[in-house]
Amino acid sequence: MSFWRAFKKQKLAVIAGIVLLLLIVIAVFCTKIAPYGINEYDYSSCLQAPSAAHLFGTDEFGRDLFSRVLCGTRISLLIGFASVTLAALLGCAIGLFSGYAGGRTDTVIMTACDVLYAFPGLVLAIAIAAVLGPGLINVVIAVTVFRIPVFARLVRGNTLKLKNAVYVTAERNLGASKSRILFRHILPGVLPNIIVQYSLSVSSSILTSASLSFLGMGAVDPTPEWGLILNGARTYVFTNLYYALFPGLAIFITVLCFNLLGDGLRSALDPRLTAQEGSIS
Amino acid sequence: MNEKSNRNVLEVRDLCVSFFTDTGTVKAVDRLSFDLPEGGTLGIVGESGSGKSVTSLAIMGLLKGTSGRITNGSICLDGRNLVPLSEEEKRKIRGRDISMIFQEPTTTLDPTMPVGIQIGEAIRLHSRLSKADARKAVLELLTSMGFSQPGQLYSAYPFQLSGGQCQRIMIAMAMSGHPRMLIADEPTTALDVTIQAQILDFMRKLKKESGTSILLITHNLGVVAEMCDQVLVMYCSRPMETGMVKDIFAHPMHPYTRGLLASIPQPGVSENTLYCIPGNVPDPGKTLPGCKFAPRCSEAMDICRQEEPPAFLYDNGHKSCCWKCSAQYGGNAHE
Amino acid sequence: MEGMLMSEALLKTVNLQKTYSRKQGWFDKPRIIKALTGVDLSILPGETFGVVGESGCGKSTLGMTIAKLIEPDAGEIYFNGRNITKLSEKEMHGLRKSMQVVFQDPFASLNPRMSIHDILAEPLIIQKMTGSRAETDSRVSELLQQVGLDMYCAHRYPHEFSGGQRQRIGIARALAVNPSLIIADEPVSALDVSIQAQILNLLCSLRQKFSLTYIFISHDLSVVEYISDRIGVMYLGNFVEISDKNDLFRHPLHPYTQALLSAIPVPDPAADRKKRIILSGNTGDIVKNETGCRFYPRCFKRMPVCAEVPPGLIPVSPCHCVSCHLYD
Repeated sequence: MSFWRAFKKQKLAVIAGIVLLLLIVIAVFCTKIAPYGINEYDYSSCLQAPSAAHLFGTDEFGRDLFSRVLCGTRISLLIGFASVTLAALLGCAIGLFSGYAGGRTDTVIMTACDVLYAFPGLVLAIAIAAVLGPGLINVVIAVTVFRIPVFARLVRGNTLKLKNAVYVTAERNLGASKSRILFRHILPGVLPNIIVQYSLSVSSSILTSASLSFLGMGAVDPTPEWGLILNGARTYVFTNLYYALFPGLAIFITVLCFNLLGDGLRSALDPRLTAQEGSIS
Repeated sequence: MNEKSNRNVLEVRDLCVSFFTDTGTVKAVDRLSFDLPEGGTLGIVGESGSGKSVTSLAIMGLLKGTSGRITNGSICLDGRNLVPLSEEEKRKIRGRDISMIFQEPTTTLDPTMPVGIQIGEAIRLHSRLSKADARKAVLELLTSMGFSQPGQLYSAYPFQLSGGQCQRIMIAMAMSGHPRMLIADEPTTALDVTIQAQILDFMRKLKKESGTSILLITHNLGVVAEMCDQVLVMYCSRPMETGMVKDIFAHPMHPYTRGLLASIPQPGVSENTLYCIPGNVPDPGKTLPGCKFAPRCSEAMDICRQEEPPAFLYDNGHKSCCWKCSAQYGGNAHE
Repeated sequence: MEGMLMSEALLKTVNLQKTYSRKQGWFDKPRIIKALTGVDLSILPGETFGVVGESGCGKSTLGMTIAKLIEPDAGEIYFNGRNITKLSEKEMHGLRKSMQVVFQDPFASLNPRMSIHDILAEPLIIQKMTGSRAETDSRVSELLQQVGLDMYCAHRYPHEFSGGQRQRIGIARALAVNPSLIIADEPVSALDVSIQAQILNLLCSLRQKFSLTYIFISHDLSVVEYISDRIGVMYLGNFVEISDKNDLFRHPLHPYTQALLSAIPVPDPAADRKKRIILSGNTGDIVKNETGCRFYPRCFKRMPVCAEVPPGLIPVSPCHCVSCHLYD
């Protein structure tokens, strides 16, 4: 399939994809790989610099940072995937319906999405987290809500465009029902864009949840969420830089990889689409 | 038009243009040679994939930015080879010595500027007029082109005008620099038949007044019969037949030309079945040995599938790249 | 032709109207475009009716409205004697089997993400024409062969085919439901000349084989003349002349038809071009006050009455009507 060939050309995206696969493997097997427990206090080795025994050093309670950061992978990826999947499903449903219905229904729904979208993401997430209280599930909800309008707008725009495509008119001519047209003909056309947005949204979602935890509004100790670890590292940033460095790097690498993957997917999908639907004469 | 000199404005020899893509190299134009005499009109006819539009882009030097390159051959404008020129030199020639008009007039004009300003820009590019003088020149040009309200037209935007009006403005802009030759790439394909008649009439009048040579690219043999003195038929990057329009239409030699002429429905002529050339235009990436038309040719001989025919010359400048023609009518190999 | 009983006509429209209003910003009045202005049409079973006209004449709108893909604003459509104008989508479902459309753009009319097999299976599934998967597969192969394509094409995707081949697939899709009427909306306009001839011949042979009735819409008068029995010339929303094919070319009555015929570039350098009529103005120039004949601003034979009173469709002979005051 020419999509894979086009994707393989995006070297950065391929590397990012491999790193992400590695991260997923880590997330799945983190408890087996981690040398120590995530909440293993050891007051005899507090705030130790990285060494052979503690690869990333220890925090103020003597907990091994390597194990904590490693296990944080599972949490971050879970939050990322869960929240974006929920947002994508809800956003797509809203977008498909709104785009196909058109008219006043469309205007009302889109205005509601615009209002939601107008809030700066983090502020909205904070507001929701403040209402719901701390905890990981509430982080997921907060991040989901603020991502829904992005998917809804994207899907609605594509639906509007595809609704008037000639092949959709041909389906109406054959007597196809509205739901058949939406799910068999319009949705597959929107799917490539959804996939690209999904990847980009995961990175944003991970960043937001880390920010929430950093601000003390998300995960609660002893959950080894990267943002929460960074929160703990704040006090020691000038004396024990390694404490903040590794969780920070983890966030940076994960977010970067999802962004590169999303960009690569977008580039790989676009020329394929134009090659399929256009012609050279 | 009776005072045709023997000079050629444009001489193209062995032009080869290839596109270098990720999936391989595609030859869009293969060893194309033709002359455009001074004051004459040459029509290049072909279907999709024939290479006719690529030829016009190559002559204008507009291949930069695409994956196409001129790999061989020469394009001589008044004796000066355009191929090795730098981008800067090519830019000087465009608009002043060679002008081009395209198929979709409404999209080739800038939608954000009134058309009068655009024509003025075109004029000022090749003359040293001030903005005020340019405006006067534009209004004069519009009046001479037959527009009844040049003032109103000056401040109109392209979307407010019809396709026919836009095309006439494009032609006016193209002619404003008094070029040696005009390349018209499918100028009437996107227009209605009655507007097409208007535009062709307009172009004929202009040509009579200015004596500009025209290279007309089209797929419509009717337009060629009306507008052109000479015609070149292309198929799959190769020239198939070339000659005076009268000769080609009265005595087409190449099987492709004959097939094309026979497959056009003619009003008032009743037939039961329209002749059609079987098969499809082949994939430009997949080249077979021999004549490009052989797979679809009802008169193909063995040699046609093995070796590509050179151009054979017949009377009156009539050339045909066909083994069968050479077997039937003789002719001297010309390449 | 105009005195035909309704029950004899396969398709009949009465006073069909469709108006589009396009908003031009917040403060300007919306621009009203009258795509169809009271079209009366009668099509007999088995005939091919050609609709010819230039851009803006409403021919595509007419085709889409007859196929009930666009809702008319006023007027009636009768199919086989039955009034189908106000039928809901659900009620139309069964009727769709009888009326199919072949679209202009072979590149856009096929879903690029579906295989040819799936594209051709769609009508069979939607209209419940086949029972089992095996039945569907064999019907798909049959359809491909009927339009001159290899049955192995079924596993490939639209982008692997040329324009002419895609158009064949579009025709196969229309045939799948065994229609009696096919509305062909510019089916060959986007194709190369040599392929046009192939598709025209295909349409002719299918017509004979399946006793189809065609409404053939095109801007190309030569193509329409080749395939049609009767031809209607449209201008700005309505027919200005309807005639038997031969009569139209030998004796064009309406000034617009005369101009249209004379404007066709003939592929014969020796042809007599002195009689070319060049129309002034543009397609779409409408009389400001909207009364009278819509061709008035561009007509070279206009009379004072033409600006005041719109002409009706006047029968000049049994198979030739014209909408022009010259023949009152």
